[in-house]
Amino acid sequence: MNGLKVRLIGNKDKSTNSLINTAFLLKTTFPKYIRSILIIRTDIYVEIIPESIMKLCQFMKNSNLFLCKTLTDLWGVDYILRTKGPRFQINYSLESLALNQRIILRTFMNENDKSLSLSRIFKSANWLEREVWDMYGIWFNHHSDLRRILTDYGFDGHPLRKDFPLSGYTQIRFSDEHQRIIIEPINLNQESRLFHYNTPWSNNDSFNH
Amino acid sequence: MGNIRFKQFLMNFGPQHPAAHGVLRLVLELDGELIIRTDAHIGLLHRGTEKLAEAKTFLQVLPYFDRLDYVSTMSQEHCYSLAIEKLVQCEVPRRAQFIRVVFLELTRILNHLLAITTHAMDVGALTPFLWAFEEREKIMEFYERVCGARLHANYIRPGGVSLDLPKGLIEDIFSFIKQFRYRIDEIEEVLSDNRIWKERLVEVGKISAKEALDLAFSGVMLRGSGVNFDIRKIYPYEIYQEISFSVPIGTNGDCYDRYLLRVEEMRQSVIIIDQVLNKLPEGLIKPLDNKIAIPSRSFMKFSMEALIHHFKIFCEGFSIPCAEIYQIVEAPKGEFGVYLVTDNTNKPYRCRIRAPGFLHLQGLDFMTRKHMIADLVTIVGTQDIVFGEIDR
Repeated sequence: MNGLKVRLIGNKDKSTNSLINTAFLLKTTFPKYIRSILIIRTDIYVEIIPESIMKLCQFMKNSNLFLCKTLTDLWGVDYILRTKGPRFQINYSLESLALNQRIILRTFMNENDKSLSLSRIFKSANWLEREVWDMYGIWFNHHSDLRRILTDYGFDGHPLRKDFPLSGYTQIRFSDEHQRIIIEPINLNQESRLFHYNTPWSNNDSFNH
Repeated sequence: MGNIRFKQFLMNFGPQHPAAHGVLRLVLELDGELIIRTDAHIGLLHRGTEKLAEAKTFLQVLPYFDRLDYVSTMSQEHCYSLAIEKLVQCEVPRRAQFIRVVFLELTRILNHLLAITTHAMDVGALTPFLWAFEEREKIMEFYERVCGARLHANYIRPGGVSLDLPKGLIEDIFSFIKQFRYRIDEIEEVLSDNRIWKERLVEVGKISAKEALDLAFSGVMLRGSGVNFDIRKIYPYEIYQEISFSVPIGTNGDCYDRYLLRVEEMRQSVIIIDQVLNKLPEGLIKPLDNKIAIPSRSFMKFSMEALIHHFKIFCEGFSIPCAEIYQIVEAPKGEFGVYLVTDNTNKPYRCRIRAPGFLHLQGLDFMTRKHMIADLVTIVGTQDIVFGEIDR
């Protein structure tokens, strides 16, 4: 066996054993593609190398071992303070109706890295990838129609990045003078205030994580 | 005359169209009256809930979930509360779980009443809509009596529920579900065998199980195509394992099947509520741990410690160590998911909201191909689209 370890977080319950089985199956099937496997409660989180996502998904969709027929969700997380390795994390949640399990594949990438689009394997990836592009500015190669989806027409920037301010940069209003909608730099009468009232001492002991 | 062909042309549908269920803008590519392609432009109601959540404490985020899908409010705050409870590993008192299930199923009825009857209204039957809103009014009155708000309840909180049931509410909910069965019958009498209704719905918007899975449909949209997938059964939460109820499954995967499923789900909700009300135990409605649950107001009057806890919860909130969780529940519209990342502070580092409607609307293009424009309205109606959750 290779050096991969399966880590378990949270309480064990009835489903845990089957999750561990799947984790070991993944580990032995794709030893080169997988960086780490984490089981948190009822989900399996698998960190993979970015180039392998197409092959992995193709295999996991069609193989009788996994039968992950659905890509239920795809989302990004911005770990801006991450020092070792790229900043953005892309998560792919695959649902296997046959095993009753959810496998979450994740990769890390930088803003200039190009991910491969899964929309040819799973139709549901289409809009979800558009959303990640809109919110994080991560480009997906071979996507048929990678436009912005949730933000306004002509919007600039990627709002869910951690370095994008909560208030944004621009505001929109109807101008009576010009008789049209104009976009102008944001003008707040009061700075938006964030109250960082963190306890100076740690009160986390009570949670026993 | 036989040689005349219409040129393909583009038509704009919405965003201010009553059949668009909110602010849906569609750019339709038409060949005569036949739809070639549908391009949905969404985001007109985008409020940046996920971004806002990163700047709020865990309790302050909760009301935003009411404002996502504003006809099934409690299901969503429930999903978020479940996620927080798993992160802080807090036990929910049994009575609170029962109360939650009662209100979750009331919410399902609330949603399906709106879904079925606005769908009927789009197709041309106004009467059931008026009847259903009478019933919705009653359910919203229950909401009001239990938490003071008719729509944006903020009732299901991490740890339990915010207030106990007031006196007499259980009896009133019971008498409501007793008469509600007949109200469902009435709606079915008007619609189920109605010739016009069937002509508009049967064999319209058909989708096979394989395609529905490929498009990540969930809830009624998936079960209509014959896939037995209900999160209440497969990944049970709260007390759903202890309750006997059945999950209706469709066979054809058309709009009419999905209509029948919604009706049957309301009947099942009535059965669930009936069982839960009969088993409702006495006890606490939120944990005694005042680090998470707010102490009661009367208790604060004489306990200094409770007062401090109250103050701390509302100005600082509680911190959660570095962890992550993906929680799913069976919301009335389908699979609603919340993904939380915490980083040892009192605010979520990332709050991803997985809305069922987003993925359903993505399938609209596929479902409307080779249909007439009039069928588009039927399909938008059957998808039960609410823009609050799609645009987030």
